[in-house]
This record gives sequence, structure tokens and C-alpha cells, in this order.
Amino acid sequence: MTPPDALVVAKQTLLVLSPELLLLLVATVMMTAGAFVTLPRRVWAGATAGALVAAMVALFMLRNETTDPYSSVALNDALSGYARFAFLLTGLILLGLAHDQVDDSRAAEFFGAFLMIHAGAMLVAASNELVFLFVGLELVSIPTYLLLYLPRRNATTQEAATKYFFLSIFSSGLLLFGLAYLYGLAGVSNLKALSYLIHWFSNSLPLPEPQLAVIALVFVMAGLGFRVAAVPFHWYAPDVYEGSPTVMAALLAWVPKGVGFLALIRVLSAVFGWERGDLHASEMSNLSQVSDKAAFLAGLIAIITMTLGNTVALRQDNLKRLFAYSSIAHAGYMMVGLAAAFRNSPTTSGGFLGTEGILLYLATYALMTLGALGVIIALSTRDRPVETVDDLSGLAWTHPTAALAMGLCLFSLAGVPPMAGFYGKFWIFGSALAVAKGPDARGFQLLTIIGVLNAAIGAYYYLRILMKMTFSPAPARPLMPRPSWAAILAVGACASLSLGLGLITAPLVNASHQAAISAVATPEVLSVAPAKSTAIMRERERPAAGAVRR
Amino acid sequence: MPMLLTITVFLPLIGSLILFLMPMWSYKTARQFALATSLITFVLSLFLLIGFQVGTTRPDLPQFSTSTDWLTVGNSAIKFALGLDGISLCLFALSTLLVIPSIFSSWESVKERAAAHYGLILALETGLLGLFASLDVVLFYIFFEFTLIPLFFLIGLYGGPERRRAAITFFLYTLAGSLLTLIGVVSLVMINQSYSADHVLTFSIPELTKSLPNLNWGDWHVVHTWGEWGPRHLFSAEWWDKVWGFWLSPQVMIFMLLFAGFAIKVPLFPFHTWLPLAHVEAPTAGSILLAGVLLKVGAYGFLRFNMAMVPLGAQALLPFLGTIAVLGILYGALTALAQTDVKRLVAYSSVSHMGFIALGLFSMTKTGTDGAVIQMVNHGLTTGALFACVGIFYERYHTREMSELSGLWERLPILAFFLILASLGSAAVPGLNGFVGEFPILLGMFSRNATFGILAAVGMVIGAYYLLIMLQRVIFGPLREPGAQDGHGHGPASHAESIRPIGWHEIAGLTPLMALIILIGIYPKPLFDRISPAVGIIARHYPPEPDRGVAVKVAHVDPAPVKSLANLPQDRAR
Repeated sequence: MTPPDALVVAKQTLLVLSPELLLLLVATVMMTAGAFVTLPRRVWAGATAGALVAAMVALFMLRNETTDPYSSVALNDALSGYARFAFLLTGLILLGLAHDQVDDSRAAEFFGAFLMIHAGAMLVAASNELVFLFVGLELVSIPTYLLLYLPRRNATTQEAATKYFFLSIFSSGLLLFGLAYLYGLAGVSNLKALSYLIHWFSNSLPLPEPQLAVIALVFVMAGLGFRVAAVPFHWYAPDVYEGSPTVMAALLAWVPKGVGFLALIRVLSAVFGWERGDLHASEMSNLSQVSDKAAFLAGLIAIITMTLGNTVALRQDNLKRLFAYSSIAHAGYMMVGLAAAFRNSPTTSGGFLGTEGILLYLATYALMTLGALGVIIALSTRDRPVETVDDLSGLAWTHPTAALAMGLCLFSLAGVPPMAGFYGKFWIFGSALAVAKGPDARGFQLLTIIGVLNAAIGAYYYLRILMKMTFSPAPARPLMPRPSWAAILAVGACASLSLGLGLITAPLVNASHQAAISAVATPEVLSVAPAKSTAIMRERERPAAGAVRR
Repeated sequence: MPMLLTITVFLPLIGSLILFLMPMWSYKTARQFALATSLITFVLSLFLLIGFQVGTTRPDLPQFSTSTDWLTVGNSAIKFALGLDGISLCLFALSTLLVIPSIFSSWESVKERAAAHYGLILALETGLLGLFASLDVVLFYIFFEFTLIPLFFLIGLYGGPERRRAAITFFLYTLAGSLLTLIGVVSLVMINQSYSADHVLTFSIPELTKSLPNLNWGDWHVVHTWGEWGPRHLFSAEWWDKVWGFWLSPQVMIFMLLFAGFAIKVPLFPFHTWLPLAHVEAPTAGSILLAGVLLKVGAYGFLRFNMAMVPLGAQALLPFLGTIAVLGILYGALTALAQTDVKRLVAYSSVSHMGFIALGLFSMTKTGTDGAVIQMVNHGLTTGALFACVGIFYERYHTREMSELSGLWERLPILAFFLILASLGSAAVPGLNGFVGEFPILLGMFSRNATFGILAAVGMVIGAYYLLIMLQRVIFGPLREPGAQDGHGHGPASHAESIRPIGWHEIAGLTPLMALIILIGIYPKPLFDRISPAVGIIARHYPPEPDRGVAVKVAHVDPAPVKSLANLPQDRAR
């Protein structure tokens, strides 16, 4: 690549990353200024909201910009747009819940770190390069330590923060180790290029050492397994959620999970995806071996994670612990989708249902989890926090609107139609059945059956909360919450979207479909020597390898 | 016309939303509004009933159908498609009809949170109507699961003392089964895409019904194991291979997945444990809809999915299915015989009667299936009426114990008339509706497997026995009322004044059911005319019916692999 071309690529990349740069700029200004000026919390929260909205506008204006997928570190494809929009939207929701949860004295640091987390999450969603992805992940983690430590209310909070800090550092190490092996595979750190080399040249240039790929796979999955709270890296979740403020539990339940699954898609399933009947890689090729192992590993983690999360959640009385185990269980469902996503290959025309399922699930999961935890935040007051399931008894008769919002989110979490949560599960389990072909068909069928049985078990603890709210008498001293309008708006948005996206699901399905295509597809190389054209390569879905497959 | 069906389906939902938004309405306003909504829905469904064309040349085409793309999946779409064929038309009309007595039955008894109560009934009605009218498997499933939510709250909020346990047992039990059904349904869609000639991904029920039974089910490897069985086989690896091969062969496995949800819903014998609890705890309105319509959903699912789409699996599992159905009939009847609580008795009688319906479906004969569909309607009418009657005297005496009640004929003669007629209809006395349904069922099963037929007939006798005993204790004999004996100062004379006579709303709710019980018993032809062609479409893929009058023994089914529909037990019998 000649220097002028490199300049073009750099300019494009900076342009598509401008929303993140904007957020980081505001965050830096806030954190610096916070040391010198004292402003009320409202101002900092307002600036944060303004930054998020501005980033959303910037994202919308940049929707048609593209970058060269094989040399740029960031992409502006459909997946990137989908996920970044989702993070900005949930950022606003989280801000609505969080804005009155901090002291004035720490507001600048809090909101600065908050913006950085979201910038990091968006970088991961856009990233197309190993190192850049890692930077994004760390940009999520490091401010999270800060946020966890800021309240420093008591020993439990500090223990939670310390636990999270050490485990997170450890998982970053694992991830970095895996990424190094991934780089060693083909000598490129660009993910689309890696995928392209592995898929389109698997006959002439097979994976040099499948063992290398397997090591990379195991370590990357371990490192990211911590972020999504999958077994066996889930231990921190209940303690940290319980020890930290509820709003931090909401943030931890959603942002790292979303980031982790996006990274898993970008780094693993889009790179090693392989579909039976692929013309470019035979059943005996190295790619198929790696991909089979990956699907097996994801399936195994999925089974253990779902079962453990759901069964342990049955016995929880503390709401935060309950939602911690519930978030573990949901990570398990999405792992089923990941196992199916390892059967999504760019070289075949098959649907990308597995990837699509994860993306769909993530969006619905964000809404319903933030909604449910948001109700708890909105109902809590400083002297009367809502901690256990019993605190919610009779809520339907004392605070019907809050109970309705909670009920919609809980039914959505349980996956009962017509809530949005149903479609996530439907797509995930449907994708696992769709790829159940060939020798490992039984494995995928078993995975699905265990998955739906888990969904039935999981319904119990959500229903328990619901029964407490509706069938139990109200306590003698009812809750007297004073929620702010922003919190009401945030919870209302979550609850109404949980129902609304269940009734009108087509936009979400279409968006995640487009995003899945762009995640898996390797764009065709149109011209090797670009002259002045900025569109060096045109991105399009490759035509079907076999016109109609069985 | 297509819009008419959509409006009918969603009208109750709109009514229910209005009721939920109006919690300040008094119970009088709420009940009047709910009644008006349900009456309009019923009238609309009457239009559908009248407008339905009988004797068309294409009974496989659903009428009043409407279809729009809803969610895209790959290069195909999940459609929002509604339509009615003969089978669903009858159940559709039954649902709109039964909502009326269920509203009337809560007329005086529900005064607290009345708006929400009626809102839940109407929401449930939309779920049921949508379910019967769905022409798309995903849409069907969504309505199927949606019905759980209103009923959960109906039982949990307005039920008896054990209502919480009843509500959650009902919900979780049904959810677990129906999720397995979802896997079965999605597998059917995937198999249809993989093996059909044009590899089309379709979620449409009529298309799947047309295409699936004709597929060459790739590695269809059923090996019957019913014939040979003994302790020595437990140690034979070969035998275990055969057993696994049987249960894991595609149609058997998918049949069992679909079976899981529907069998719990029906409920068939070992899966019925949620039902007595739910029925006893549910408010009267909930019981009427639960027994009257929701149980039919399971049977409807059997017919639409199990029997229509995987007939080979049904054929292979015939001994198993027949045994389960007969066990349900006998178990339900014997348990009902042992009950002292009238509501519990009716609940167990439902288990028995639903066993009959399942038996008719599993007989894999057109006669038996016709009978089963008619019996679905009949059972809805009679059991709905029985629960309504139980609700009427429970509301007055606050007991359902047969030992505490006797001779109600003197106190509530109109109730006695309703109860007697509904019981006789349920006991399948010729001339009333139950006979019209159960006779073809037995006929169909006799021609397929005489043993099951005989055992089921025994269940019918016990059925008459427990219902008559119930009538004898509650209606006839000397008048005995619970309040009269408690010695708190008011004798029989003062008690008589405190017992409210049957109100107009109770008569209005039950009269249409009674009229239909007699009408269907005397002149069932209009019903058969609508059901029969639609059943014929499904029955095309059944093995040919053996000659009537010749009892064919199929106790030992062919141990060789069933390769196609041509190789049938009836060939061997000749």
C-alpha cells in the first residue's frame, strides 16, 4: 500500500470513528474539568446526554461512509451501525437510571468514565483489527474499575471492585495470549483479511497449524467468557452485582456482555465459520476441524452455563443475585447461538441465522434486563432499598405502573410471546436446529432440547417475582419511591420496547439480518491497485456457491 | 371478508385493553362492557359460520384467509396469516360462545378488581381465537403461548385458597411442554426445506400439511419393538440398538416432541397432574374456558401437527398412543368415581373424556377423527355447562362437597334441569350430543384395534355411573343444605330466603349450551358437513381403514421396518 492510499484509509477510519472520538473528547474534558470546577450533578449528566445524542446524530450522518475492509482498523458496516446504535440507545437509558445515583462531588468522574465505557463498547463493535479490538475492550474495563470503586461505601463494595479488577486483568491476559496466536496463524491482524485468507484460500493456503488455531480459540473464548459471564468464568458476577450499586449491576449485566458477544462474533465465529457442504473447504480440511472444535466448545459452555445459571437462580432471594444468575443463564442461551454461528460461512449462501440470533438476542436482552433492574432502581430510596424478592410484594396494587413495566420485562426475560424476548430465543434455537446436519446433527438437537428445557426452568424464578408482585398482599408500609422523570422515561422505554418489538418485530429482525450478513461476509476484492477512488473495495454479499443447496 | 376474521380475532383484545385502562369502573360497568364485547364477537363469529361455504371442491383451502409478510427469515417469511377451515371454524365458534357463559358466571361473584377480571377473560379469548385461526406455525405458537398469560393471572388472582401453586404449576408445566413442541415445529419446517422438491422455506400450516406427509423422509428407519420384549432383551445390545433406532428415527422423534406440549395441554394420562389442581382453584369463568376450549387446543394441535404432518410416526406409535389414551379414559373415570368434591369430579371426568378425543384421533381412521372433532365441540359445551352449574351452587353454598348437599331439586329446580341435561349429554346418552361424538370414536377405534375399543367402552360405562351418582346425591333425595345444619340460629325457613334463586344471567348463559346439547344430539349433520371434508384432507395419509365389522387384531404389529404407507397391517389381516 502506497503512502497516499494509507492516508486515504486513515482519513476514512477517523471519519467513521468520529462518534467515539466525540464521546472520548467530552469524557476527557469532563474528567479534567471536574478537578477544577464544581458544578451540580445536573450539568454533568446533561453534558453526558448531549454527547450521547450528538454521537447518535454523527452515527446517523455517517451511515453511508465505508472504509476499506482489508486495511482499515475500523468498519462502518451494518453490524457496526447496529451495535453502536444499540450501545448509544442503552447508554441513554442507563444514564436515565444513573443520573441521580451519584454524589455531586464525584459526578464528573462518574459521567466521564460512563462515556468512556460506551466509547469503548462502540470501538469493539466497529473494530476490524486484533489490537484495536483489545484497546476497545480495555477502554470498557478500565473505567469500569473506576466506577466500581467510586462509591467506596463499605467493605462489600470494595471487595466487589477488587474481585472484578483482578479477574478482569487476568481475563485480559488470557485474551491477549489468544489474540497473539491468532495473529500467528496468517501473519495478519486485520480480521476481515484473516477471514478472507482462511476461507477463500483454504485449498491453496490451508491453515498452517490447526493446533495454533485451537489454542487461539480456547484462550480467546476464555478471555471473552469472563466478559459475558459464561461458566467457568462466572464466579465474580453474583458477588460483584450484589456488592455494587444497582445501577452498576445494570451496567455490568449489559455492556460487558454485549461487548463480549460482539467480540466473539468478530474474532471467532466470523473468522472460523464453516458450513457443511462448503465448496472451498472439504470436510477434512483444517478449517472444518477447527470450526467443529469451536462449535463443540461453545455448545459445551452453553449447556453448562444455562443449566448452572438457571438452577442456581431458582434459590436466590436477593434480587441482584437473582439477576446475576439470570444474566449468566442468558449468556448460555447466546452461547447456543454462537455454536450455531460457527456454522455460518462467508463462502456459502446459507443464512447466517446463528449470528443473527445472537444480535437479536442481545438487543432484546439489553432492553429487558435494563428495564427490570431499572424498576428496582426507580423504586429504591436511600433509606429503603429494594433488595429481596419480598420487598416487591403487592407491588401491582401499590404501584401498578411500575409493576406493569416489571411484568413486561419479566415475561420478556422468560421468553413468553408476544414479548420481544421470545424472538431472541426463537431465533437462537431455530438457528441451532437449522445447522443440525451431518454427523454432529444430534449434538445440535441435544443442545436445543437442553436449551428449551432451561427456558422452562428459568421461567420459574421470573414468575416467582411476578407472583410476589401480584398475588401477595401489599406490605403494611408500602414503598415510597420518588423516581425522577428520566428514570421513568428510561424504564418506560425498556418496557414498551420489550412489548413493542414483540408485536412489531420486523425492523429488529431486518436490522439484525443485515448486521449478520455484514459480520460474516468477506467483501470481494475489486481492484488491487486503487488510484484515486475512495471506495477501494466494494462490499457485497458473495453469490451463492451452490445455487440451491439441500 | 378477510378483514372480518381479523376483526373478530382482535376485537376482544381491544375490549380487554379498554378494561385494563379503566380500573376505576365499577363491577357493573365492567361486566356490561365485557358482555357487550363478547356478544359482538359472537355475532361476528356467527357471520363467519353462516358465510362459510360448505361443500366446496377445495376443502384444503382455508376460507376468509388473509396473509401478509411479517418477519423475513432468509429468503422466506413468517406470515401473519389467518383463515378457517371446517375444523377450526367449529372450535372458533365454540370459543366465542363459551366466553358468554363464563362472563355470566362471574356476573355476581366477581366484585373486586372486576375490570381486570373481565379484561383477562377477553384477552384469553383473543389468544384462543387467534390460535384456531392461525395459518402460520409461528403465529400459532405465539397465540398458543399467549393464552398462558391471562389464564395464569385469572387463576392466581381470582382462584381458591391454593391458587398460587395452581397458577405456577399450570404455567410451568404447559410452558415446558410447549417449548418442546416448538422444537418439533421448527424441525418440521427445516425438514420440509431440506427434503421437499423445491427446497422452499415455509411456515404455512396448509403448505406444510400438503407437503410433509409426501416427503421421502430420507433416513426414515423405524424398527418396531413392540412385538418382542422380555427380560433377556435388556442385556442384548442388538435389541437396544433397535430401541434407539426406533425412538431416534425422525418421524418418531418429531412426533414425540410435538406430543410433549399437546399431551400436557389435553391432558393425557401421566401428564394430567396439573389439571385437577388448576380446575379446582380456578374461578368458574376460568374453569369454563379452561375445560371448554383450552383443553381442545391440545387435541387440535394433535390433529393439525401430529396426525397431519407426521402420520408415519403416529402409525408407528399407535400401540403406545392407544394405551395412553385408554389408560387416561379408565384412570380419569375411576378417579372421578372416588371424588366427593363435585368440581374435582368434573375435572377428572374431563381427563376421561379428553382421553376419548385422543383415542379418536389416534385411531387413524376418518370416522374416528370426525367423531373426535365433534366430541371436542361437545365436550366444550357439556363440561362448560357442568362447571357453570357447579359455580352456581358454589356461589350460594360455598361448598362443593357432595356429602353436604342433597335434594337441590327442591331449592333450585332450574339448576337441577341444567345439571341433569349437561350430565346426560356428557354421559353420551343417545339423543344428546355426547353420543354423536363418542359413537364414531369407538367405531373408528374398533376397526383399528378392537382391544382399545372395548376398554374405552368400559370407560364410557363408568362415566355414566359417576355422573348419575353425582346427580343422585346432589339433585335428588331429601333437601339438605350446609347452612341449615350449622345451628347458628337460622332454620331452613330463613335459609331458603337467603339462597338466591337462579338469576336471569345464569339462565341466559346456560340456555344456548343446553339448546346445542339437544340440537347436536338430534341433528349433527351441519357439523359433520363442515368438519368432514377438512378431516378428509388429513385422513388421506392415514392407512386405509380395514373393513368394518371385521375386528382386526393388530396386537403384534409387523416387526419389519415400515417403508411406506403401502405396507400396512390390514394387508396381513386378510
